[in-house]
Amino acid sequence: MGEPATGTEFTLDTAAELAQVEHGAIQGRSPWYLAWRRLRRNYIAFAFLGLFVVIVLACALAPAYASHVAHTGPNANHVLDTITVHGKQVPVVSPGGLINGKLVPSLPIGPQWFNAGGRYLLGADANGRDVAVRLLYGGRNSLVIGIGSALICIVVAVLLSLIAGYFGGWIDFVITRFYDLFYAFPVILLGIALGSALAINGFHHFGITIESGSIWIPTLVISYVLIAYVGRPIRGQILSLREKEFVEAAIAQGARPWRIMVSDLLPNLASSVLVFFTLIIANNIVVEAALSFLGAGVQPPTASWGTLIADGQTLIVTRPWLSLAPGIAIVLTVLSLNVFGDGLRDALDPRAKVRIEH
Amino acid sequence: MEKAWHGLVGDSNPDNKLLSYTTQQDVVQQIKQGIPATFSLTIGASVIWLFFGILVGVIAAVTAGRLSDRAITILALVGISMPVFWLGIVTRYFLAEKNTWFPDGEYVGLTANPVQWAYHLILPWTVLAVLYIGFYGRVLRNNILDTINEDFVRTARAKGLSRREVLTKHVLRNSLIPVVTLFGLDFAGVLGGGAILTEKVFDLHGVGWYAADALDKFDLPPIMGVTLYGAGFIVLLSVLVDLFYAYLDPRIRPT
Repeated sequence: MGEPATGTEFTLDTAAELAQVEHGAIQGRSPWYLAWRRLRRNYIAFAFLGLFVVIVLACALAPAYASHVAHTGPNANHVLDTITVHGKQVPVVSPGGLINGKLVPSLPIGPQWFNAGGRYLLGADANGRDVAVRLLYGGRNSLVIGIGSALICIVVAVLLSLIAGYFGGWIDFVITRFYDLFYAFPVILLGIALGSALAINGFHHFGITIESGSIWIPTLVISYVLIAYVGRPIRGQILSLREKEFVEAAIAQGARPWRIMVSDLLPNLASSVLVFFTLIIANNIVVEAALSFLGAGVQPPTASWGTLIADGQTLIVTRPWLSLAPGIAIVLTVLSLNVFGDGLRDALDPRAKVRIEH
Repeated sequence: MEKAWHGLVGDSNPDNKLLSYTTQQDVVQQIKQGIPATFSLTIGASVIWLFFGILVGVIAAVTAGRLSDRAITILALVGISMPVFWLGIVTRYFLAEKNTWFPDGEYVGLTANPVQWAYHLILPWTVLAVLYIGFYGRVLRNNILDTINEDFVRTARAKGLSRREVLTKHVLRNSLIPVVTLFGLDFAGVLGGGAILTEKVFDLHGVGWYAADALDKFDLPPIMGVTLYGAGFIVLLSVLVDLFYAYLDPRIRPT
């Protein structure tokens, strides 16, 4: 027999002992811990978060892939080059002709998978550029624009809504009318109008200069267009929080408005802002792809998933992978964010009504 | 208003018309020409998405937690996550170009040939509707599940109504109210040129296609014109939705 197990020893201080037992049984748990425990059980959400991380890592490693596997850059043309496939020399872009009754100006090489030593894994486009390399570089741009515009959009919308919801009165009136103004325009059309106008000359006002080919333009356009869609529901939440007792108590204590906004209202918004952020990234990636597809987003030769689909559209009959691959990348990325965002919402607040609706 | 229009049109234009930079055509006239195709696309697609959205939402809510609900939830998410133009390109490639089961794009007037009109529009209708079916299905499912726990539903069951009657007359009627708002705004958005991607992909010469075509040449006046046209539709439909809302929900009628 070893030593008796600790905790079974008899002491005279019963009250302290009971308190100890009770302390073990009832533990104060923060809402964030409870949410994390709910989220942890949602394996599907985690699997899709993993998928998103894999996509982000793959796109982040684009330069390594380009220099060590594909041996080319994202914008390098290889129209007149040849590559070795199974020991034979094959031109990257062959002259076109009538294919399936359609006149094709030139025919780039199709997907080589691993036959060409990692070169032209998904084939080449009409300019002889490696599509796999462009897919990864394009993914970098699409993700940077999606995440960047979501960040800007959320920060501005939360700031505006905090000011509107807290102060009320004419400030609220002005900001709400500003939101209404955005609601009156179809998102894509407003994005196109702004994106195309800025794509011609760039932005040169208020001492800020953005060149016309910069990916800052689609980032800012998308965040600007969607501010109202995030701001309105958040303002609604602030209006109801504003009436709660703890805000009244803070005012009674003499806290300044700024302090109440940051330390009383903002923590209560954190969970819905987090959910919004995830879903808005997904949404913005789709909007970016749509704008770039139409020519009002990322400008050539810079790659993005939207421009890649547009580039591939002319060759869809002979080389369908040019358009299929970037589309699949978008679907997987957006789906993973949507599923994870859903799981996050269920975990943080099972009764929440936070939804992106437009 | 007059002054704003004049500022948009510019001084060099004696007729006070908004002209395209490249073709010198009257933008308002061109938008009017695109309206039949856009309206055909929008109305057909909205019938499909409303019908299937409600069907999918009700099935998912009634079988909540079971396999069919899970399958619908996942499919709805996939539908929402797909860019509409990519889905259009892919369906056009597989169903109209690789296998020629459907006509390859273009719009045929309803008055010219009703059968060809519908045949040419089946693919664009379906592609445009997929996103909204997933979206409406999800919204409706959550609304029904929220409503089903309300007191008046329990009362309705207690007074002896069958499950089916409670679902159609009490639950669905209340759950559909938010869907009506969504539908009004989405319908206005698509009608106002929001179907630009679908029209571009399927070569339907509607209002959205006109804007997309102008965008290829960076021709700004048509884009501005179509954007304002779209805004007009959204404002108009928002007013109609608010009025219809009051009809549906007596609680918000002005007293």
